[in-house]
Amino acid sequence: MMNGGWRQEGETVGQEVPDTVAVAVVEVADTLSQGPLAILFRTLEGGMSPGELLGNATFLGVLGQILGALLVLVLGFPLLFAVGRGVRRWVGSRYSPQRGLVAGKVIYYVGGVILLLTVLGQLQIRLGPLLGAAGIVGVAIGFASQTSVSNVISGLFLVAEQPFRVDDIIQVGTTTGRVLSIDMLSVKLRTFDNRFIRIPNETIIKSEVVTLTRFPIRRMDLMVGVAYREDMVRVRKVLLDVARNNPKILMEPEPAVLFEKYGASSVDFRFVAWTTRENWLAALNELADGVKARLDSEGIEIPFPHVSLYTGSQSLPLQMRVVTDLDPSGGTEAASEGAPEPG
Amino acid sequence: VTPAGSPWGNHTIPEGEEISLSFGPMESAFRREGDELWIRTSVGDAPEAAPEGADWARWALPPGDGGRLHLAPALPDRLVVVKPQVSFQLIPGASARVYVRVPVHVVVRHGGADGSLLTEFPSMRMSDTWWGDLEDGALGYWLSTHARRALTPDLVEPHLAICTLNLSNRSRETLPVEKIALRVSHLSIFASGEGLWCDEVQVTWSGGEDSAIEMSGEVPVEAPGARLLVPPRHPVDRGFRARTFARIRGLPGFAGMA
Repeated sequence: MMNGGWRQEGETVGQEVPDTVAVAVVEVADTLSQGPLAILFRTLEGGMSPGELLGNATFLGVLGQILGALLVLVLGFPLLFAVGRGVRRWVGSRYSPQRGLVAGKVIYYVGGVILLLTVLGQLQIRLGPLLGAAGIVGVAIGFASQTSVSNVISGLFLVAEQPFRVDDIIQVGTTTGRVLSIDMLSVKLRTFDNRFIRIPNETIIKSEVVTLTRFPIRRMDLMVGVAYREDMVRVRKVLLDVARNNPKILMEPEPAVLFEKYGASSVDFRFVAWTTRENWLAALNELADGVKARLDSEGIEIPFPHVSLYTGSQSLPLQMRVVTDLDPSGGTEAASEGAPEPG
Repeated sequence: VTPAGSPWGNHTIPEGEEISLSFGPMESAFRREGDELWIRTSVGDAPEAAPEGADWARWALPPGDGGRLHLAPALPDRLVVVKPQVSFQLIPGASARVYVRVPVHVVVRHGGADGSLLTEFPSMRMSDTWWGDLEDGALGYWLSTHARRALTPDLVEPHLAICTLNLSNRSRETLPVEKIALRVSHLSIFASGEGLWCDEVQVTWSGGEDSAIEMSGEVPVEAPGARLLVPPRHPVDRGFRARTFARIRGLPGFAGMA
């Protein structure tokens, strides 16, 4: 639509954009001025009485077109929402909540566009100029909203790649929660303390995401330290027995007790056991309780670092006493107190 | 009150009374108080000092209800992974008839055999296990068993259903029978005297992962005259193929330590 007469000699190409916008605006205005709304307003401005208006065929025809468009809007969108909800539920129950969500959104967006085109057609508004203007405005908005566009594109990748699905539990950075929805711009989570968290899709794509519920079974790792004097073979047997006596712990994959290290005050074992993802938290707590109770009942010591605090007069040097059985008083001890003497 | 005879079938709980039934190690008590039914289950030496009502479950019955219950056995709701205490091997062309005793669940219905389901509890708590690989598989119960090759009368117990497995190796390799996945939801329960029996199962391995499994739908010859007590939870018309002997893939033990 660039008209040679609109450009002056010596103008830079960069000036084409405002010219194009102006042309688009003129075309949109021209389109709207020929539509039934404009005709209706012009007729109403003509100063006709209500009786004359009702007898005016043009007015009645235009009024019918507008009412028809309104009818499409009033009936169409609630129907569209109802159909979208129905499809979402049906697909969600038959396949997966994630597919239901995507199917529902496809219905919303496609149906919304069809309804919009129908209304515009009813109002005799030509789409060409509108789309042209929308394209130009879209470019302008696109420059101004790169983040949003990035989120939308990231959302498409998320839907295609499916690193997680609706109802999965995921961990992004320090946030852990259940996925409520995967939308065009963001992923919505509900944390376990019932907070609502919105994470932009771009952040998800750039971050390490852990899907905790991807696989049906999970492993629990429990670090267990026992005193150096304990029999390590016996400790292993006791720990495995704790796992075998807990019905939530899977017998296969087998639980295992692995040597971890000789620690500062304990021999450390890594006690690993498997359970279903649904039982993970309960089984972990039960296992920890069971290990402590069983080690206590078996007399196996769980050592821990001792800290002694002294203040004031208690912070004197360590006192030592020499014991001898040559005590003339008949006692078995006596001698000197205080710091040890050489020799 | 502890009724004599088989625990299966109809029972009437008189107003204000309590009846006790044992299903192997599982003790159960049924009590009626007005229009309410109370049921308690406990394993072996239950804590007698538990506060009154702490471990009971209650159901509200229709007014004027006679307190009639129906108790029926049911095979577990998941597959059972049977681990022979001493594993054995089937050489090519060999067959083995193995008897496995599976602890049944107790299904409690109100009114009669077709009445509303009140509860279902296992007669023996079995540990969970996983059958499959780390990404896909099925949750099952773990059952350590003798996998006997012969039956004796003392093996018949009211809470154990005897499953008869005919294992055949039609491959050219030796088949190690370390674990057997028993899909009990496809099996019926038959009653013969005090004992419970499953229909006979034929498992044929021809190599590879899967085996051909056929449910005969008929009681084994060891239980002549047994009558059908409970149909399968999930009936299958004919046989099917599924992994029955293979070990779990991709893990066990230390392989998953990375």
